[in-house]
Amino acid sequence: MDESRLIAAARSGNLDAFNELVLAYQDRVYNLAYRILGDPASAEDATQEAFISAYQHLSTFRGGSFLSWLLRTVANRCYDELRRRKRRPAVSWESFGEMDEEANPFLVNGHPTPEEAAQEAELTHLLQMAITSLPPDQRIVLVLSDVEGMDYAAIAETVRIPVGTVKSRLARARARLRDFLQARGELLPRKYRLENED
Amino acid sequence: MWGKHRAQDKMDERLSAYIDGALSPRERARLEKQLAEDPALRARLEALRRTVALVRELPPVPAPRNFLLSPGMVAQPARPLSPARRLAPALTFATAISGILCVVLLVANLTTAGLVEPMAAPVPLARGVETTSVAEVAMADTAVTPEDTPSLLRAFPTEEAPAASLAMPSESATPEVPWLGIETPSIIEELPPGAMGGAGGIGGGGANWGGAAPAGPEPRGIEGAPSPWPETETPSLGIAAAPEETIPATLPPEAKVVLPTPTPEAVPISETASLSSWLPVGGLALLTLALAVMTVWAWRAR
Repeated sequence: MDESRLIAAARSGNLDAFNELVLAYQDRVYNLAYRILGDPASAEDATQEAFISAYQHLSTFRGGSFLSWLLRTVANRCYDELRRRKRRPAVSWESFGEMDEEANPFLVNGHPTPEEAAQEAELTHLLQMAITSLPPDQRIVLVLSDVEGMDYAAIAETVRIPVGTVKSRLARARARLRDFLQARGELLPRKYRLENED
Repeated sequence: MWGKHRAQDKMDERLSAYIDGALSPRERARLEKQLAEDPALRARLEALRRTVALVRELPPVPAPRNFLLSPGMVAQPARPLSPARRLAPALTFATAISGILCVVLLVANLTTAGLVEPMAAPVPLARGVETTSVAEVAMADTAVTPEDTPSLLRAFPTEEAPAASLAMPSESATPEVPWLGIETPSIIEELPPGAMGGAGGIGGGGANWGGAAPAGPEPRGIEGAPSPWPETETPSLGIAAAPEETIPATLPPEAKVVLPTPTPEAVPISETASLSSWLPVGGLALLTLALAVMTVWAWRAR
């Protein structure tokens, strides 16, 4: 895929060229939205809106990594959504226990053994609950760092905060996540428990 | 308690940066030394490291469907503006104009208030002098006793009145008493409107009558340059101030013709005027405020 040629064509109004970029990056974009928002429907909406916004504002793309630019766009969409939810909370804690099956790749794609699949699904479920329990500003930084693998500078550019703030928010998010998982240690599969019980 | 939490947060921040390899060599060496000495800190680091590893191992969630764009999705329809939003520019303009007018009027009022106050003072002073002269004339004619004089002066409660009374020699007024009320009405009627208003009126012709007293403290007004009118007319100005009971019964009936007399309630003219001059400013300020609120609302309307 010649990314720069597709971008140039999309800039001149070629929607087919942009759709090739959509097909190439939609999984990454959706994954980020899902990890931040925690539910498939909101993640779908955020992903679709992010692609539409990206196409309409393609002229503002100044080069560099197109994927990073797309991720920044969807992260901003998610951030807006989280702020909206904070003003009008509508999702209860219990709803996280009823996640859609498609959100769990082990249930969708199958796994070597049913027992391992169940353990992995349980862990994934618990981790997603833990991530969703974080405050929005810490959640976005954690997902960008530990799910998307961005470095501090890229996160700072995406969220538009200083690198020092990225470090402190990430540390607080990780510590909260650790405390969350330690408090629910019995829910984790034995091999994933954070504390030695010997 | 608070300090302990803060210290733990700082330590977690260092541990997190240590996991990411974001510590400087000096900081890393210091932390590794602490880790070597403190097993609890090592356990803390290990728990944090495993947490990060768990998150990093989260399986990617594939997109449940394609997010391909269609021409209809990316078309930006021109949204019709709401009526309120269409009014926003006009409201902004009106607010600006109203605000400027309000400021201009405010400044004008403040400026004129500073100029008018000293100019407004002579009006009551002139009346006071007129009253005083009549009072003295009446006293000289024995129709009014000295005990009655204060009541006459009270008709125009100005501070200048006693001073003017002292400055005006009573003998200059005494001879004119017989003319009181006889010629005055016709003379007053002949005067141009506003001639009674102050120093520029009757005294403007060179003869400094009682009404011109504020122009100068010396009482030369009555004894000075010849007046265009007979001197006998001088006290006629005071008739207006003299209550009917102070006029001797021996006077002709015409003497009871009383000119429009300023009542004590009518004296604070300048106060009333200044109050009325501030009303437009207040109204305009309220209008500006209302327009500003409407402008903000109109701009925020979608």
